[in-house]
Amino acid sequence: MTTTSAQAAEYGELIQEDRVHGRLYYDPAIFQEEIEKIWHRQWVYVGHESEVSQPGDYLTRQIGLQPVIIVRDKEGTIQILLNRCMHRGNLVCPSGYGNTQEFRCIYHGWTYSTKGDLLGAPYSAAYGTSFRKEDYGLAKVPRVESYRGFIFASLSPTGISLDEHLGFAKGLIDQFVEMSPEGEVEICAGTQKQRYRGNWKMQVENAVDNYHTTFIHQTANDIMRVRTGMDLSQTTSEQSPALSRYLGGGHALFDFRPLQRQMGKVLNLSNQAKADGTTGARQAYSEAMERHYGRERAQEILQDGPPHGYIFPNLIFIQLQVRRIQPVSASETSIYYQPSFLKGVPAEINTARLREHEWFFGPAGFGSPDDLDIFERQQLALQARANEWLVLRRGLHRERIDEGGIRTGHIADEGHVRGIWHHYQQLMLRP
Amino acid sequence: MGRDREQIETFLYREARLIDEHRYDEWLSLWADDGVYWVPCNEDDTDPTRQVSILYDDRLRLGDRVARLQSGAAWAQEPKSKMRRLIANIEIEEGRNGEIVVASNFILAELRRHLQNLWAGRTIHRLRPANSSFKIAYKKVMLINNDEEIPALVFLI
Repeated sequence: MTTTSAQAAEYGELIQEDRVHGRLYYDPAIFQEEIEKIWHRQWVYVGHESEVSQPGDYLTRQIGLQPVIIVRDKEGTIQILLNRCMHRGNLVCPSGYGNTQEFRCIYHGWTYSTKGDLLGAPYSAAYGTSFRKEDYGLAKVPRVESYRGFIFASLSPTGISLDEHLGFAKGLIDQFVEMSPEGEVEICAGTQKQRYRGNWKMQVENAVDNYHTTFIHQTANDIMRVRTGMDLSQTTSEQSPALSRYLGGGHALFDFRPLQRQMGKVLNLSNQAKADGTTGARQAYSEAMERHYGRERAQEILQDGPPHGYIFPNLIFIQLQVRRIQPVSASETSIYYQPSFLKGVPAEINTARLREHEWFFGPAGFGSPDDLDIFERQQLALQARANEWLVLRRGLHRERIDEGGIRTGHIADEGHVRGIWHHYQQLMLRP
Repeated sequence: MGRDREQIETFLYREARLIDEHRYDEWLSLWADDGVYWVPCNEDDTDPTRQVSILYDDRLRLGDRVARLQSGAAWAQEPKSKMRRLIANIEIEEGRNGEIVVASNFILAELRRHLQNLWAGRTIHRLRPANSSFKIAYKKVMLINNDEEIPALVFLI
């Protein structure tokens, strides 16, 4: 694999209006630069408040390549601490999750509170009288903010607020949580974990690529048609009124609502409502929604269904699932699929949501493993250097940009993906 | 239980060979109509109504899974994995309603696109005597790496 200097990378050249260069997916120097300029600087999704619901609850994650601990302290505030003992650099918290009063490094017994303060270092007289515990607290991630339960963090002490970062993408999160009559979801049903030998941006592009669904997912579509009578290929057809949107800030979504309103039903890739015997529970769910939102709004929410979209750089909402992208190297990526539970609905609804999720998603699903396989094939194919460009020109001649800067096109066009790349380019061109 | 044990071992070895060799229809015919095929996620003992699974198939979905593998367009299994598995440490208990509960360990070498993966775990079968053989009423596969980032598991395990 050829490595070139990151400093020499010309992002103005590598990302053009209608195409992007293959080096962006395999060059280790570009990967390192992405880690510094995107993952270790911008807002990154780290987890959901319900994953650390009680004081002392913690879990380990990464922001970019840096290990962190997300912990709810004694006062109930969420802290994100760098998972590195201030003494000799050991992991203070081994990978995993649980509940704890404090973090004790097993190497020499240095102990920290759930706020990261150093509580004690054994035999500390040897450090002399100038040793101050206040100087050796665990490093904190400088900026942590939540939106409707979703926790984002930035390793940069300065920069735009989360509110500015999310912008129009707040609507995506709103649409997701409003599927619950209490306006809240819980991420408490476990995590499917899969790794692929390909670049992280392949998952980004694929998550908001509607063009591929008729081809790669033909088998799932065929099963869907037999089981529910629903034909997903009409989403992609040239006549489809469904839309793709670039929201700014690197965020994008599919808007299925025009098509769903036309059809009078929600396009649910894993719609098994007919078969799973939850009619009564669905009725109770619908009534709970009407009590909370009023009849008209409740019917609108249920008609529109959950969102499908991407929040830069690592958060994907598809149907009832929260998906996180974790880069490993230029050519390796981990994917975490977490089906959400709706608060305030009958238990059968959430169980049915699990079965719906497993139908298409995760390492053994009928859909997403095929996508990840394609990413591995792309990564291999990109070693062919005859023509280094990947084409991104669908709908270039017909995209519309409104006053708010939202770029809208046919669902299988690529204006929204061009928007994501433009945002990426702006970040990578910064010093 | 000498003869029963031999019969059960023969059944498990045959099942293993059928899935190693992608003989899907024959494998599917081993299943009871109310069979459940389950690979838990994150832990071995979860409540599948409250926790996501790697897969949790009733007989209908199992049939769809097999049809997908037979279609030639389940891309994460095109080309198909070359597989051989060993089954050992077989322990047999009487179950309810005449069923037999069989616990076993497995190691599976799976080769696809030049990469060989090693899979291992413990399987619980509930076998229901039928004619001179058995039907699989329940198969739970507890992967030792069910809480790790794993490659695609689109083949049968």
